[in-house]
Amino acid sequence: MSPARRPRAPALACTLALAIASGAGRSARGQEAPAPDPSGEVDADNAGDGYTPAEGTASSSALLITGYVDLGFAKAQGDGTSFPPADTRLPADYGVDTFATAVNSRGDVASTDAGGRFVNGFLPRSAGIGGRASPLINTVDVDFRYNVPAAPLMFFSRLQLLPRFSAAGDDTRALLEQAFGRLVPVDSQELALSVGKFDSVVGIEYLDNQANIRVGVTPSLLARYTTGQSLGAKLFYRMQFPGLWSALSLNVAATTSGSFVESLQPPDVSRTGVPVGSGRLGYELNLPHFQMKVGGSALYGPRNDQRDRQIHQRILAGDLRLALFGIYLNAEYVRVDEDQSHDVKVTGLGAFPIASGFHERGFYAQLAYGLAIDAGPLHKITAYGRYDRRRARFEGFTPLLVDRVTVGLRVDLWEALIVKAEILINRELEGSPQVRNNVQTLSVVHSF
Amino acid sequence: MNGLPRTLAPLLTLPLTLALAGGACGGPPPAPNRLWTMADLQYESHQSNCSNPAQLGCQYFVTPRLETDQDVLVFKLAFAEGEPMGYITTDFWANYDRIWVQPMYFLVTRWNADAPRANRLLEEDGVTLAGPIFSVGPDSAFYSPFWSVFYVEVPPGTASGKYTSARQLFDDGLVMHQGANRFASIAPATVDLPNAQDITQLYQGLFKVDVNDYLAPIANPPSPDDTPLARVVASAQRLPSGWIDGVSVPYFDFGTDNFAANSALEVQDVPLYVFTQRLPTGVDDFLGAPNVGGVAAPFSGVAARVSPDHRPQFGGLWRLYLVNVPEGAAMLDKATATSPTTGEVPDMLKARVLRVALNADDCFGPLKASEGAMDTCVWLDSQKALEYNLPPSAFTRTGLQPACPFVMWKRYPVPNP
Repeated sequence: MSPARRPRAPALACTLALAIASGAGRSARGQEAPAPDPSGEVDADNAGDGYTPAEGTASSSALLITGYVDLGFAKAQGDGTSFPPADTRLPADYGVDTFATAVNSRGDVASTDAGGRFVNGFLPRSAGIGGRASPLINTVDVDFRYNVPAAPLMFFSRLQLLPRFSAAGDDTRALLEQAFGRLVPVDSQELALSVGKFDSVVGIEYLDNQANIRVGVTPSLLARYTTGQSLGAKLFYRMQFPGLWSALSLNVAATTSGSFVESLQPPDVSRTGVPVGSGRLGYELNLPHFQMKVGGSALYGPRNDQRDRQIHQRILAGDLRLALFGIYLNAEYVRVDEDQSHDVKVTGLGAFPIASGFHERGFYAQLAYGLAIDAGPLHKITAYGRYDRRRARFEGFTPLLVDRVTVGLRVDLWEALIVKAEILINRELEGSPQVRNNVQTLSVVHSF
Repeated sequence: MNGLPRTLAPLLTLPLTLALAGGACGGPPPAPNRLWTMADLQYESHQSNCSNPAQLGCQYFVTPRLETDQDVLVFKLAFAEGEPMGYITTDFWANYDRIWVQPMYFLVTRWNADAPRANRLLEEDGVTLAGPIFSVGPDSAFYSPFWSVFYVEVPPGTASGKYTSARQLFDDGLVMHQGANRFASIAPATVDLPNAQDITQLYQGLFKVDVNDYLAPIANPPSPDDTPLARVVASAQRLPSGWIDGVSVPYFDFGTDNFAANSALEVQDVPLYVFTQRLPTGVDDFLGAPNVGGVAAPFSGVAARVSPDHRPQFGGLWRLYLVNVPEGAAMLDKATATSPTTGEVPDMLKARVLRVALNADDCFGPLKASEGAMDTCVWLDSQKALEYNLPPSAFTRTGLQPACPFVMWKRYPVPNP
């Protein structure tokens, strides 16, 4: 949850170091108009598209290729899942939080092996390491950006290779995570229209999706609802109020699946023929030594994991970001409601018999402090901690209350290498047997 | 469907056709899945325009008991293996591809592998058994009355209200022992099991028959009220309280081992055959005869698994199969069987009434004239008879699966251990 993001790692690392250490990222520019940086990239607050290029900027080269490699090493307790061995309730994934044992920035967990018990598709992607310590190649990311010469038009695509192994053998995927075109019709206005597959506009955590952006290693317990990509159109507009050191922004989208991650709702087609509407209204105050950003988000539309257009999903979210004297607080509340469908459920992981009604309430708060250091390759050390709490229930199933404490340390070396180490302490507070599912994970990210 | 008036048949034909077509390759999308719990069936029974499974009559599964506030589950007379049998429908699924067993927990103060229920925890009154703990309630689409039973050891003297949810059992690390599967349907407080009078009135009205004629008589009954039918309805028990996540719920218990589940905890269904017949208009319609219960997978030739005390180890979960019988087949109704001379159904024919004969046009005449002595009918009253006498094309598998535990099997009450 850094206050500023850059698509290129050197810029990113530098920006993060400066931002966290001083609380003065580009988003703190106050009354200034959003000026493109030399690489043609913008900060990744909610005013933009997250880890995507700037609108209408001219680059020295029309085509730019960037990316990163995220290597990991992780160890989860138990068998790498949250499934209690003696709990034979079915579906097995309704009585536990299967997303608890995250090991990387994608939210992949150590394992989703339910031991032969039936599961109904409330699952993340799995790294397939179980309870054993293992190195991982979390992500190999390559981004292509093409700025149309002499036109306010840009095309961007993000291709990711995700080497994985499962009990069935090789499970490697090539994922086109984003692919969109963006038009900035008026030079003097912060107005952009994007069409294609792009990040969510709900909340703020999607801004940290990529490993070279995220302060820590793993996403929050709520990321599954707000950080997915989807296919459609998006309109962004921001209005600056220089005299008040403030800005208002509006980001609205009409997409196939909304903001759930692809393992929960498929984003690449509309299964109902009706778009899902979502948006975020944000306010930011950018004083020289203090920044505050608050926003409210909403999403409404048919569930895209089934085909009945009368079966809806609803999300309400609120977010807050504060930056003061190098200390950063990010917090978010997310409320999710999904109607029950009588259709079969289809997610990115396959087809499942029942699309149950679902309800969730949760929040997280993250505190980070970065210390800038100029000692050879060492540029910065950042300590961070996060508390997540999530209450959820499938209709008719026992409500589940879980929380998680995350603590970690991040070291930025040179301008292109980040080393992050993190411990996740997961707890089942109500509704599910307690299980050993804490995680230790390490991530080494090199950007190019 | 058993006892279905033919006037309802057109209502049933369309949804059944849609449900079936959904499974065909290249056909329309699969029909929507739905679970009707007992509470749903009761609710539908109070509607004038209900949405019962397959658009069956609103009081097909639950009927009001006159002069009381209670509603009553409906007893169904049917045939299996050439003999009468009876069941009660508690829950119903449409277009579920699988139905699962869920865990259920009984508290015991000492484990006895030979008699698992011997040391059940008692309520504070020292007499009443502490209720079991269910893991999944009827509000869930994954609810089912098919339970995998675990006996949980608790210290003697444990307060009966201490454990009311599955999580509490796990959190305290209690020792568990798996027992026999059990059929228990969570029930609304205002639904009751039928008594002998309810059933007698229903079948007198529907078919003008006495269900006692389909039951083995009791030698020297101790009282006039001790009829075979009264013993049948005692096969199921209404129990006051089990627990789901701390909430007390009543339930009906139909005993152990009356269904089978595979290693993936999926309940295995057996066929329940529903008679249809092509009308002169070319439309298939329901015959309105009692159903025929299968005993194993269609055309498997597997024999019925029945315990020595007349307890079938199947039948908890059925799948409806439509059986299209040819012209010339018919049900022997009471009017046909009644002797014109005595005005009564001859004793030899009493248990034949309501059965379907494949060659009714040819055999009912001699059967009636001989008062049952000359029986040349090909009775379609067992899975074996159906599969032997009808071509495979006469059978149509549906997506409809009722939970219908037996309360009567081959003329005898099904015991509830």
